[in-house]
Amino acid sequence: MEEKDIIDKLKKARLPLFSLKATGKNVKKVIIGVESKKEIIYIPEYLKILTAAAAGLFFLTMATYYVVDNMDKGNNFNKNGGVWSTYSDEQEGGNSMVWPPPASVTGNDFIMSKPGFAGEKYAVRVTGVTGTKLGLNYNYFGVVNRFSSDSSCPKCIGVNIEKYNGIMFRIKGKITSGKLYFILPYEGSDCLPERLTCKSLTNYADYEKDITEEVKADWTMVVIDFRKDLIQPYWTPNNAVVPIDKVLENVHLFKWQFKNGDGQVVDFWIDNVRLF
Amino acid sequence: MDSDKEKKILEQSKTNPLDFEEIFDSYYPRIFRYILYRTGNPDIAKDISAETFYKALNKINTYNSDRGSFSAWVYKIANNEINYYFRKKKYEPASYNAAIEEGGFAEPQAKVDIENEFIEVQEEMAKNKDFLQICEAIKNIPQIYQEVITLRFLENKKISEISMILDKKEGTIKSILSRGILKLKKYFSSRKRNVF
Repeated sequence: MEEKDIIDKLKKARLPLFSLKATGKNVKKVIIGVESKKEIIYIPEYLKILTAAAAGLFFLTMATYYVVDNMDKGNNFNKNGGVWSTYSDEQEGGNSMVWPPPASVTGNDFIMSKPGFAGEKYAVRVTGVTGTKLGLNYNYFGVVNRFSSDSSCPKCIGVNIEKYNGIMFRIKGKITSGKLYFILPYEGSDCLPERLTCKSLTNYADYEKDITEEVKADWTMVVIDFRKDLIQPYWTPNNAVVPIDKVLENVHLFKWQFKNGDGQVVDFWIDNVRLF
Repeated sequence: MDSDKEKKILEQSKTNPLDFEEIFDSYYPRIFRYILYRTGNPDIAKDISAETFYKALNKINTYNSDRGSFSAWVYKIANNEINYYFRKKKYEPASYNAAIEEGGFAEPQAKVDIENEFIEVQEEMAKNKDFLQICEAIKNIPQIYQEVITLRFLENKKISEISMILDKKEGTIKSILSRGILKLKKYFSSRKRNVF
């Protein structure tokens, strides 16, 4: 047998990658479960050093990581007092349906669902069906999270988040057709009371990213770099084109919007929303 | 998973272990298979994989992406555990078992699924005669050759990555590789019956 025959034999001896989902699930549960209880161990070394060296610098570093909401409380507010709520094309005359019901319809608070990521506490769950009345791209529903209590009507005050690189969150669900977008709207300080929202400064041609492919049966993490991954839609009018940094200086809310479904029920869950 | 995303998730895992899940899902099947190649035993591969990932997450704060890829780092941990197994001739995933006791975790409802997964592994092993012959042959050459040959030809790793996993210069890896092939050649030639 020649050397090349040995090498051929080695290559033929390769095994497939086994999925090992059940085996892995048990291992994962143990190692991540145990380590999650040891929060103190997970203070990064550089933060420990900075703490000892300079408290001011420590807080500066800490400020580059921000939990928007981990949904642990199970109420309809994020950590900053910003409200979660759903919306649909109904106000435009459409017939899309969404659950939990929009506050404008019921006057009720957003309902958090159980369980959240890793089987813990709560998550945002949105289910719905896009209608057919308004035409392609105009049938939609979604969920928004106002960044803070002041970013809702009537105050409509934006927050400067330009020091962050992006947003990350967990997602899972089922989408058989249509597209789910993460959207970073650009709003002004004028409140539109009839729509319970602040005025769009882009005529809704906002920075967005298609995240449909990230939605799977199991939780996955979506990592979006504001400056690299988000773009304004192709139909953005010239007078609505705005630099991303200008948007980041004045953030009112985040949106997850579904559109162009074919009548199938869409279901998606969101948890652990963080800026990095 | 692209490397930028992997780096971000690894950094997040240092402060939030829950974020390690995606890394685990991505590497667990590969590490299990590498250990299976080295040991030829799915049960041992399962135990060593569990210990490897326990240690990886437990020591995640010490991982520095500037010093090499996470892949090389986690293969290195697995390699150390495999070597420990060969030295002791038995294996107990001590830290992992302690974690089970500490956390009281168990998921008996998944037992049937786990058994089915292992049947699948055993079937794949049994039907690949080249695998069985190579497994037998590799056991008969010194450990350093086993490591390099498995990583290069079965795991399809680049010389540069093997160099990082084993902490040896690339020239040394190439030299071990060619000597290892010669040892396998000698092994197969020494066998009286034709293995092909």
